[in-house]
Amino acid sequence: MGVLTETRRVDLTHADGRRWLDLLRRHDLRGHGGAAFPTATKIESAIGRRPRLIINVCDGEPLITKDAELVRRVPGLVIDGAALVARAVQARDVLFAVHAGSPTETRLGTSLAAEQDRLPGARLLRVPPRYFSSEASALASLASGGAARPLSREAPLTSQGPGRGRVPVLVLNAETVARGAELWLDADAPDAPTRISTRLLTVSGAVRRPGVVETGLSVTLAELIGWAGGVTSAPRAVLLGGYGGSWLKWSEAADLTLTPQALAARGADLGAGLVHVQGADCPLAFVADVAAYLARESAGQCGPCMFGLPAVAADVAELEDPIKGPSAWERLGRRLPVIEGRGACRHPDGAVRQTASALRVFGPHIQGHWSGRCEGSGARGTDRAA
Amino acid sequence: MSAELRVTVDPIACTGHGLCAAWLPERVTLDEWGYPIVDATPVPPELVKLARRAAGECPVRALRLAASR
Repeated sequence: MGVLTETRRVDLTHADGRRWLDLLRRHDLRGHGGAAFPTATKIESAIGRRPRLIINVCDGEPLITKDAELVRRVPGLVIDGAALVARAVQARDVLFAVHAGSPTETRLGTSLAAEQDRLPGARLLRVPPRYFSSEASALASLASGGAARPLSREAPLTSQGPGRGRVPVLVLNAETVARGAELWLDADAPDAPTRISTRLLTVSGAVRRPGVVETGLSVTLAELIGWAGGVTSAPRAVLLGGYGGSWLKWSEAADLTLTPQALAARGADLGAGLVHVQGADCPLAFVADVAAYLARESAGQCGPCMFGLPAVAADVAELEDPIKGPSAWERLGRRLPVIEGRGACRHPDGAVRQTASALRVFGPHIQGHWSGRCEGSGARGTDRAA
Repeated sequence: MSAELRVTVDPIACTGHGLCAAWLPERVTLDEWGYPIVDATPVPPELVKLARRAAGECPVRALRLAASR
């Protein structure tokens, strides 16, 4: 059971926007793109404003593949979910944001062409394959012919309309709308089993079968890793959420369930659904690669991000050095809190959060390097990030 | 009660000239790269004139005074 195995289609002739939104509220559906905002509230805020609807089908992170998996397995459910939203808000147009040149672009393009009757006029919005390009305000900007870069915080989100004036923009994640469609299908089928809320997670790192797993939230991280074939070496830690997420020691994470409450108690959340297992290898190459990636993927618009993230990445790269490491550690303690909350988008905040949690979780390991020993097994750098 | 004024900065517009910190050190300091770190607590009446000056002197109009209730 779950969205990936859904074979039913929504009967759009009977769709009732108000009843559907009630369902979303009753099931407390929240955005699955990372921010976990209540979906019904977001959709309702756009009613009566004839928004441009953008469905975000871009897996924004190198290790996450859940949106691609969704389109590979159940493109119709994504289209149905979008159609339900489009009807509820009387969207002026519907765009599906996909990374240009990706298999998702081809697959969804084919499905849309075959289903024009369900969602007339819907089209693809081709997004450059950069980390920040699929952020909501960057999509709004791209949709109106601008650059695919985040805009200064502005609520509500708008986009340059055709001709004159600005039009409101509603951006929803593909998994979110697919779940909305599934809730409607169950409500229409009185004999449907009681719904267990599930999520799409991408499991990567030191596991035997990396990939997308759909799971209920009452399972523990250890059980989840079991479904991914188990670990390939003794796990040290797990990165939850994404590159802007949080590291947890495996010893404190293994028995945690995936409920928002259990994770929040450890300062973590599922974000965009990454579960990356760090095995017995030295973690520092991966941590440094992620920091370098996040610095490289800054949109280069805001000073604290443009200059701060490369400085942080340089510090992280020096952590393992017995001579330079201690002062790099000290600089990070000073720099990380200064950068947080000062960009137009949340990119620098995520980078800070993840780096700070890496320092906490791998602190003793890093200090081991300073006295000339690394407790990692295997060759350093065998587990590198994208 | 009149609206309180707070200093805000548009982080995309800001290019780190740093004049704001010179005009209003009570609310703005600069990070090691020269970009403003803004204290968002309300600007007291005696500082409002200086705060307006700081906003007016910003070469790229990135520093703003926002009214909040």
